[in-house]
Amino acid sequence: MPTDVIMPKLGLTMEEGTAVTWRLAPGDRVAEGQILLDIETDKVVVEVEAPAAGVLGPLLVGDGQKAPVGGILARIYGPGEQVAGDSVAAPRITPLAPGMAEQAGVDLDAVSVSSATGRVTAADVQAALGKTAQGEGLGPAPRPPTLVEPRATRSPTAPQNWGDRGARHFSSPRARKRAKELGLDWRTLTGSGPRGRVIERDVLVAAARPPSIPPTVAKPPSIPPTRGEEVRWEAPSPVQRVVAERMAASFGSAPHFYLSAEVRADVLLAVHDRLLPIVERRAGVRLTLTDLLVRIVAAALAEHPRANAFWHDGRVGVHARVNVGIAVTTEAGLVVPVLRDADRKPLAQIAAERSELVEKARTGRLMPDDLAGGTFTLTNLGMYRVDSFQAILNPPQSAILAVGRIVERPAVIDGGLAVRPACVLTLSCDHRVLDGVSGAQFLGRVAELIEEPYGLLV
Amino acid sequence: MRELSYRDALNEALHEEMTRDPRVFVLGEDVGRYGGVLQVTRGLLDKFGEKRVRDTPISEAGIMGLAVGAAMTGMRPVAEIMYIDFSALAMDQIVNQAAKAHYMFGGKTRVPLVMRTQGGGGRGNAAQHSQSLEMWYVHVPGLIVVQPSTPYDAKGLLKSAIRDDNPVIFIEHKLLYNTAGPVPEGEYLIPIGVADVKRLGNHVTIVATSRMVLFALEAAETLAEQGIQAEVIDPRTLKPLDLATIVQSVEKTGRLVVVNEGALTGGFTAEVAARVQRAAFDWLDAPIMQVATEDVPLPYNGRLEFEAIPSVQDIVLAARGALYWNAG
Repeated sequence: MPTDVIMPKLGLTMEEGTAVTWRLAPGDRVAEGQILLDIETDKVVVEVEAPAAGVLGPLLVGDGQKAPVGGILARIYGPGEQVAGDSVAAPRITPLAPGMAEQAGVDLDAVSVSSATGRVTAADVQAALGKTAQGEGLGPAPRPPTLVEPRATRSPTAPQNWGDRGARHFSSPRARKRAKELGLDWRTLTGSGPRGRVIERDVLVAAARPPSIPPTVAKPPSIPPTRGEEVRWEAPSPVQRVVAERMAASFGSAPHFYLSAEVRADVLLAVHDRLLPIVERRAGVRLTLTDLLVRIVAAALAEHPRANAFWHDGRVGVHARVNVGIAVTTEAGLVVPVLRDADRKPLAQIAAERSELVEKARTGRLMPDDLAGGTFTLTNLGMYRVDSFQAILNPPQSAILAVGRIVERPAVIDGGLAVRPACVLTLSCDHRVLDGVSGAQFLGRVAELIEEPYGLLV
Repeated sequence: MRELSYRDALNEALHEEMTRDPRVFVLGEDVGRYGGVLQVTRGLLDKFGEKRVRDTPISEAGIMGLAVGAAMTGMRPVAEIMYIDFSALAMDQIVNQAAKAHYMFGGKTRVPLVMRTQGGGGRGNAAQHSQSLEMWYVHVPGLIVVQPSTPYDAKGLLKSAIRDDNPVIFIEHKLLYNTAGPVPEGEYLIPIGVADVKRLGNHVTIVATSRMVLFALEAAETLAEQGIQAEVIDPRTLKPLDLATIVQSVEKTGRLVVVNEGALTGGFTAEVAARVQRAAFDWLDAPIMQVATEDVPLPYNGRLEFEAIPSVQDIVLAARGALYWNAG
């Protein structure tokens, strides 16, 4: 049997991916492990290796096309296996489609195929029906139940450009049974099986972990632009779309409040200057102020666990580890690679790891693991002309620190006026986890360590 | 416990049953003086005499016709058909007479016969001597079909088959005769229609018959090295099938692989898959996997024959497939 090349599942929240570039063409010889194509997920571009040796069959998902997790991208034919070019490439037809087409008087050959499997599905027939019918009274033709599966029951976070075509959301009977027992809606889950099938394991995994995004976020009505206005529509990149969904969910569900403090930065700058050559010698990278901030924030988080926590299902989950996410802007959008156990790592190691993560982010080579597991986020617009700003919480985290630029500011010291570098810190908090006092205590500790970084040595 | 070969376990069952019940007699080609080409009837002639151990002409229709008549008139014949492939010649006697008489005479007669035969490939015996035709008989109402995989099961099931008042098709496997296993001293019976769990596991259920049980157990060892605990079930009786034992296991594992040496199409694996999906739909976490012989006449060439018949590796892959582990 030919071996399927499938869209891999690279993260818990991944539901679909885009085939960016095929490195090989149909008919090419393939060695096992050879890079077949690049795929783009929500956040990263990843190389897909050939799962078997043989000859590459027709591409079922071409460059730039999307496929759900588990969707077949192509097949690899082993020795002696017929590369049935025609029969594979020719759109096959799912069982429901012919009957639908006949009933509705739609020419099957004229139906365009939407699914990554290359098959004409009942949904495709329905889509074609919609185009040809144009509201003419076709009568209430009985329709297979799959067609009336309401979109409203699909996951609110499901990528719409796949689900919109009426593609089914698959699940095993066991998974549905288990989901029912656990009080979960399997339709909100991401399946790891073929064609994104939700299997029992997915249900158990979902039951065991807090949702990264609250599953029931009321969808606010979208306000369309005034009729007649000229609008150019732009499709968000996958990263932008995820950011949009997560930010809306976060802002809509987590009650935010903000604490600001101006801190002197002269000592920090001096420490940075002194450490720069030392770190360069030790780790071969340039120490940045971000590295110092990560180290300071991590030290403060270890002392203030409530800022290193999250709200889930009426309870507060406190993380045992301190993993600081760093917001990085890339061409594809905003990503937050994670520096793990930042409270236990020396500055040189933080600098080295941060440098590698940022480089991977800029070149789109972050792996899902690089983005997972963050417990707190640091966002720094100090390089822009921003004095202070309020960040939206990175769900499900309970706090995020926004750092503005360091500039010389007047300060009153001992009744006299002095000029010194300073910056404004703004902590955004989830009020379900932190209150004003606990937020202030954490921010106070961060401020203290920025103003007197030698405190880290104590 | 002492070890016996599959062959000797069957031989012992015949000795015991012929000693116990004077109505029991054996017939078939070369079963007497020669002891059967498979040596299962060895020693019976010397012990029980020519009246109860009958060498017949090479006529399968004659053997089975004689057996049906003897059974209807109060005897308990154990007829040997040397290869199940040859049973095609006796099909009218088996299908139209043995299987139907009790029903068509309104219960006024019974046909308590056992047709002992052997099937299966893997020995280079070519297309006319290697088939697994058990499903032909499973398809006929009125017949019981038994396929033991171990010496212990072989002895206990043959004794039960001889004592059953219905015609029993008792199918051995040509590559099992030399396998050995524990067989207790003294009398015991294994009830017809009861499956046996040959290995316990939580991750995937493998249902296999006859020689494929040994393959499934070997596959389970390989799977265990990969971290997959397979439960292996031998139905032992194909008809009536002990569906409850299989379903109980599937409710635990959520995944099922069915292995049978017969041809895939219209075969045992399809039958079990159909029944299990209906009985345990809500417990299934993956499609039921079938492992069966290719739909081809079995080749004489050993390598080709190996490719056509299910292998241990085929079962391993199917089990991994049922666990969605195929990528690695």
